[in-house]
Amino acid sequence: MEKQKPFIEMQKITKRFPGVLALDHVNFDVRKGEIHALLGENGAGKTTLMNILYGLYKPDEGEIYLEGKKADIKSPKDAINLGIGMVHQHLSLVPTFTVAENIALGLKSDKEPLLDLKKIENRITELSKGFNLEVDPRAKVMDLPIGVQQRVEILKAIYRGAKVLILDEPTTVLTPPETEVLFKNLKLMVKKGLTVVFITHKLYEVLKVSDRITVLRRGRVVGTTKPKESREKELIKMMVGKELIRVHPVRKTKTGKVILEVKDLHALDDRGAKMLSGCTFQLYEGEILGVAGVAGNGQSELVEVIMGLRKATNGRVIINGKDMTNKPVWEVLRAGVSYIPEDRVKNTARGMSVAENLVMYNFRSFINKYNMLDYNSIKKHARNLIDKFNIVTPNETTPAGALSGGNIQRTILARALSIDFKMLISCHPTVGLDVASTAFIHNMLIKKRDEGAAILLISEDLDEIMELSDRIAVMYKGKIVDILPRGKADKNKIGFMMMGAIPNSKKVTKRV
Amino acid sequence: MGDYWIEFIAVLLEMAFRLGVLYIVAAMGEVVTQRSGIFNISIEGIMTLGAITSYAAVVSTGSHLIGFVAAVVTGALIGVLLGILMITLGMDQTLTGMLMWIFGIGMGALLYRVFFGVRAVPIMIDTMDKIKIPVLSSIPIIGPSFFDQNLFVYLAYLLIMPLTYFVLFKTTHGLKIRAVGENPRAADVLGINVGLTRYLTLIFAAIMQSVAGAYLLMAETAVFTPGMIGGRGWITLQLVMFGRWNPPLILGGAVLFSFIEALAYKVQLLYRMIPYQFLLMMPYIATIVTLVLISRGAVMPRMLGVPYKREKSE
Repeated sequence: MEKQKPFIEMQKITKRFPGVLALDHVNFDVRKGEIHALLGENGAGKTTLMNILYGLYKPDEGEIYLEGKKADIKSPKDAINLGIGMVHQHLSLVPTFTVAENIALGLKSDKEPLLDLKKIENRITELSKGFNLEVDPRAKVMDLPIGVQQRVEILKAIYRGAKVLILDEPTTVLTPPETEVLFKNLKLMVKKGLTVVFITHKLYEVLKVSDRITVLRRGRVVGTTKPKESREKELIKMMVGKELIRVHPVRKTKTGKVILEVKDLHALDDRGAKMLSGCTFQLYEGEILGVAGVAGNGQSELVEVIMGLRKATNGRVIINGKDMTNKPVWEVLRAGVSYIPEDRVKNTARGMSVAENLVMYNFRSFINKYNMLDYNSIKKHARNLIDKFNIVTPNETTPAGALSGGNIQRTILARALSIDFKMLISCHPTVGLDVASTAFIHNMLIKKRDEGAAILLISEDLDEIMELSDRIAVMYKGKIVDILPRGKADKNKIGFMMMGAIPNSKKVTKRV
Repeated sequence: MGDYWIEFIAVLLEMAFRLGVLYIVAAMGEVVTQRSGIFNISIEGIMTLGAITSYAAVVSTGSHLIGFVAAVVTGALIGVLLGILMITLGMDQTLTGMLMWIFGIGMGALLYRVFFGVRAVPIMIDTMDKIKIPVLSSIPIIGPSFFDQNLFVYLAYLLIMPLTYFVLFKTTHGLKIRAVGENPRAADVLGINVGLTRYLTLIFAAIMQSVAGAYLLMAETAVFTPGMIGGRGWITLQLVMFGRWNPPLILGGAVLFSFIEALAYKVQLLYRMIPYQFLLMMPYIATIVTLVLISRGAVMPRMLGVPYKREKSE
């Protein structure tokens, strides 16, 4: 019973990137006034498809129809004029501008060519009341929390008269309570006549807010369904192509000795702002300690101080009983620490070969009798890891910079996990990896833990933390708010703590 | 203070205002293009080419106006060429800038040879006339030093700098330019043509810098010599950066630099015992120290020197 004809129809869209078929004859349609979820794994082509609708990418083949009429969308400008607005995952705001300036950008003003910010500020206040999107139009964007910045993006689209709002993975930067607010707002928007396309890879969100779901896998549409008609399991099957049993690792109950002790740590960021203010915790042998927190609450600085990459202004870092506060990186590494850095691209020597990148932590073990690097064994070692970690590269002598993001990520993981370590500092280890690779890395971390390694897991993906950690530390404004054993932790509680709510139950605190 | 000193200061100020024009004109072009994210370091070369083409034009026609028109055309062509290299082809901006710098200086010398051959005495052109503003020019000190100058002095201080500031910070176009330099992606998704914006600012910068070279020729030197720009292009670049991409501050830096440069000339003539190397050094030190001390807050455009590419596969 097709009572509604599609509002937007994308037909046989094909897009190729060098060496990759990103979209393969994709058909996709959206009806007026619905929340349509576009579901798929990372790299399934969701964002690419929407970037085409928004005029950012040119499709190699295919056509787009808007209300039955063929639409020729060559640039975002055309899309905006047709009433399409998009909020990207990496927000596209100018940080040094105010909210009003960001919204005024690219618009004709009434006093052209003069800027008329006053009028824009008034209109923003009006709109933000109507849509329950509160924001101060005169605030500088860089001073706003990420959740509010996202609101600015949504306002930007509505201000331009968007009838369709595309949201690309809007919840990755939000805490669970912020997500709730966003969902409520989306429902309000739809009530007010907007249409929403919602890109995500998180299943529970899809089932919660969407009216219809389209699943993409490897650049193809697997199918379109309704949340009532489909269960989580079936959706996973559609996304991944096979049923995936989630591994729930069991922790060894005995507590080992303390490997890492962080005591009252203080540190500043590059701009001199206080990022760590009295961070204290212990990490034991044979456990995974997950650090949950909204990005920018000192996680990066904590890791950098432990690794010796940033100076502690106060406090101590003790690794394996030795004081390692403000010691150089090589000493930290020599103490048996391995490191998966946050920024995978920055931490690769792009001009050097994959093989050379793979032995950066332990090249001293590849020395021949003349005290020179033994390239034959380095290459052999590399071929081994390439095979084991599924790194897609022409061969081991290819420059690392020529690899795709996901494969650079695998190279870095292989490098960190292939050396002997007592402690692993692991930052966002699976960002950008597909489900199969993620499962592989997770199993690897569990295996290392079971062998007795201490693992500090920093991740923005709360699901990942909940799945892997034996204990979960919540970080807020440069401090560990609390540490919960996994059994005692639930997502909502952690979500509130990530926003600074301190649990009133003393019992929880004592458990540590 | 005796008449001698009043006279002395008036002369210094007159020189400072006159010499400062060159930096202001060139720097206003540079600040606009840098705000849009283009790091153009070839100012020295562009000035040289502006000077030689206007020299050729003035020698053959005798008209200053045609000289300036020649400089504008030259600048526009250079701007387009740089745009093709830096924006369309996405080449490294520092390297491209160095290329244009060396090319400009070499080409200037070559063109001189082609047009004028080898000469014992170079052809002098007329320098620009002074326009005395009635009443205002009789104000003590400031009158003769500012209100008895050539047309370009008035234009630079009273029109070019204020207009640049106004356009950058008070108009929708300025907002676009700054957005493109801070976050081109944000501008792009709002339908702003990043490439075109950068092309236009770059062409504007090259025209201004070419005209600045022509001004040096027509207001100061009257003859073309291959090394006549003498590092002034690089000083312009420093003024823009130490002036924190802020037009009024850059203007202040330009005048201060020129004033101390003038002072150094005079002192060199009056007091022989001071080593001249020390005096040559003075303007640089004084300008940098002052600008570092007074400028806080504004920072470099975040995407300065970074080419923008829309389609990237993840």
